[in-house]
Amino acid sequence: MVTLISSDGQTFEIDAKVAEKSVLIKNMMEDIGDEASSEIPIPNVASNVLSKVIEYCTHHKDDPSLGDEETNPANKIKNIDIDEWDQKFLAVDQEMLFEIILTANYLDIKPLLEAGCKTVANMIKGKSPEEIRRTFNIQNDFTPEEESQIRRENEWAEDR
Amino acid sequence: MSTPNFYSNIKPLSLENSKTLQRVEELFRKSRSDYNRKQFEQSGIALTKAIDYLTQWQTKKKYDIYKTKKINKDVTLGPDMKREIDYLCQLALGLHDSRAAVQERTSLPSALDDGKSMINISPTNPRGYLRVGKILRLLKEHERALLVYKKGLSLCADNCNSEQTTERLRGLYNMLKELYNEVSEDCNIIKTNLAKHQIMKKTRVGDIEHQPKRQKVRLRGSPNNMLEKLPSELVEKIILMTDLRSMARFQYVCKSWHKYISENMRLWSKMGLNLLEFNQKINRERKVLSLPLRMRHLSHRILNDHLVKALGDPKRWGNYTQDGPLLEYISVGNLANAEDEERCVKALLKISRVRAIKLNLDYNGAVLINSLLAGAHNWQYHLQSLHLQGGRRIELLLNQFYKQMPMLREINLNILPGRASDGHAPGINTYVIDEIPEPDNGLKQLAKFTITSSATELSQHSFQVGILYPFILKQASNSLTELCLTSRVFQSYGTWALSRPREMGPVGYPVFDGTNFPLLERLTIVNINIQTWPFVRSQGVLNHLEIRETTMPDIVTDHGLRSREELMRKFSCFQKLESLVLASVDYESRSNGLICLFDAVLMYGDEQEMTNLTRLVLSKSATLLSVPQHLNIPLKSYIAQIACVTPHLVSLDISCIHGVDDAFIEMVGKSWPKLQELLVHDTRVTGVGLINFFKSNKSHRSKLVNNEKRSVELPLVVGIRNCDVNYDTVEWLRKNNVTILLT
Repeated sequence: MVTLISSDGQTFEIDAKVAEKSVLIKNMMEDIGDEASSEIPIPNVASNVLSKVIEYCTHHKDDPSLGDEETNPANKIKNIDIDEWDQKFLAVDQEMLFEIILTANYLDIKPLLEAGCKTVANMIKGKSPEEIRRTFNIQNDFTPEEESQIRRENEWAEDR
Repeated sequence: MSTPNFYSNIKPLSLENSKTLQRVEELFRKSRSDYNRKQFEQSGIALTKAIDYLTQWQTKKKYDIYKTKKINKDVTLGPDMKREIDYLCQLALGLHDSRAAVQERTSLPSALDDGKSMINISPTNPRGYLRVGKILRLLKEHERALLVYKKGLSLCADNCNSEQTTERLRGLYNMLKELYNEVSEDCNIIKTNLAKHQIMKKTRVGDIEHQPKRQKVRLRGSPNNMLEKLPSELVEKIILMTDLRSMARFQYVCKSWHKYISENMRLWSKMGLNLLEFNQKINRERKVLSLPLRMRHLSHRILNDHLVKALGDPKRWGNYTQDGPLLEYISVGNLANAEDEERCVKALLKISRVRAIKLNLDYNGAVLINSLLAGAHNWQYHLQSLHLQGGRRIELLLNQFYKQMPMLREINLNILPGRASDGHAPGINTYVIDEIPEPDNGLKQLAKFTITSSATELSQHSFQVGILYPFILKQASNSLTELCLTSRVFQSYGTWALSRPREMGPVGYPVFDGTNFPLLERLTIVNINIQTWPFVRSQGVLNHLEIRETTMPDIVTDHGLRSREELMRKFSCFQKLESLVLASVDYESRSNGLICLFDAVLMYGDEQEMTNLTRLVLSKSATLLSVPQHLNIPLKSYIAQIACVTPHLVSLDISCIHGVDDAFIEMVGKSWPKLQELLVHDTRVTGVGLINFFKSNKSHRSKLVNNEKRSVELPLVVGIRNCDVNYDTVEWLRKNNVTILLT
């Protein structure tokens, strides 16, 4: 068992197998061995996010590990779609989604990072600028002239 | 990047087998090799990951120490522990130093953050001060750099415990001196002081602001902007999961997105790379090669890589240069400069088995003419479609090598006028073509000719450019089915005639009129003044006529027509028209050609309907209103007359005409019962009028159904942008299966 401590001091006792989904924690656990305490503070992740990430790891604890992305080019092409459970899991508000992505990045949980990024990518792919602005609540700070200038430069993206 | 020195610092045995540290070191090595290959962003990302690992490791260590201390206050740190901490400190310093070095090339402010972290990690190590000072100097903040060097000297003075540190300290001193010299004027006094006091004298300088520990604080401007919430490398990852077109459009979202995307070279090159991989995987079967379109932001090297990979690699595309399959389509464009263009074109010329090429040349068409001329014969047996865009003087190119491509069926030119910077001073004579080619067999298969001038600036070249069209058109007169002439330039200079261009060439130059295009089906003329009708005698198959932003010659005087019969004969070419667009034209007097045209159409129709006409676009033209006023006949009967000529009209566009109102569309509804699409954008039409329109149209339609004994119950479309239509009307329309267009 491993105990993770979130930034707000909450503790999560989880199975080693679950914790090992995070390459960061996995490496660290191997370093610690048995002699030291197995309490690991995660100072930049809040409890609500951490619990969510643990939920993910628990569900996926039996998945085979993917290996290193760079050394295994097959991984790049794979996983074009997000599996159904992940899709539901990631159907959270944007705030949470971004936090999950950041945590996955920090803890080095590749499949979660991929799924998270893919989810965001799907939110913006093929969307019009106006739709994206609405999605992320972004102000259009271009003047009409600037915008039409940029559009002209990228005309090729509109045709065909 | 300074030499990574985590080896120089002896690693304590207790850490020998640490997985985390192994990973950190592995990342460090990777970043170094990336750095050496000049892939700075990659290098930076690896370092960030390494720092994450190390930080978490240190947090854990500290936590353990903290816990042990809590349990037993007397525990002191053993020598092992101390060595470990020292080592980790050194390692962290190295990592931050390297990342700062990387970021000096990409983002100075973040480099500064790293430098400050170094000082925080080890306030008595000169390395941090050296780094921060250097960055500040790069930022041109010499004063601050000076303070940092001074502070570094004073704090590290006692820390000469290793040769390396001493070396660094000396470096620090040298830097300080150098900077003093640079900022000499202000610092004369300090300089003399320094000479007096020697190096190590403690010169207490006012504290530099104490920097808070580096945290990943992100701006939270707008609530959920992913750019602000996620680190750059993740944003990049996400964007790369979309496609090239989406990415290009992301630039319109807001300024920060535009900046992020347009300035991120790697993003473009990677996306391009993905595109190539994609092409390789999927499009190979479809035989389409589309190069990364947006190369403006790619460096030569990356560009070259792409081209070599995509075009030059004989393994991949070699087939297309010999007897392999035919490549359907290549699109290359928006290159960074003339050299890239040239390189790109050269690569392109090697591919002979290609059916369509779209080449977007921005910089110097003239330079490329020679390359193209030399190599274009490669394309001759297969090229059917040539789309040249944006190139200056590409029209000359066409003039030269049309003979080499007997198979050409489609030419699409998008011309920019020459610029003085190209070595061609703007002036009417710069484009004079000395030699007009002798007519021969070139272009005899040309079916589609489109010429667009996208330039917005005034140019006198347009005249000379114009010389070419008649020639091309002459060659292709028996094969041309589609002709599209669009311009922003021509009109502003004067007029360009489809027929005998008196100012342009010698007498006897080919004259064009309708008889020259027996197969012409579509004619589009936008913003070009026409002096004589090119098609009046055509007996052909013209089914689409589009004229916009243009004034027209007066048919009556121009052709010396005397009788109505004669006029009708002239306009027999309209008999087969399916679509007529007469938009954005001013009508001021009776002599205006367009009114003549319109009238002639109607007069002709008196005797024979234009049975094929289904689409009529009159937007921004007040014809429907001004003609009856002019002829002094009631509007109602005038519309009825038109409707009588065009009984099968399905689509009517009367947008942007001030006089169009409720009463008007009611008349329209009664006159054209088969109407399925009515566009009244930007008019005074209101919801009440619309409902009346549909009600009357419906009843007429049902009558029609009864008469013709067949169902014509078809969906209706209505365009009502900027019209005074309330929500209830919209609901009513929706309920009645009416599609509403707002764009």
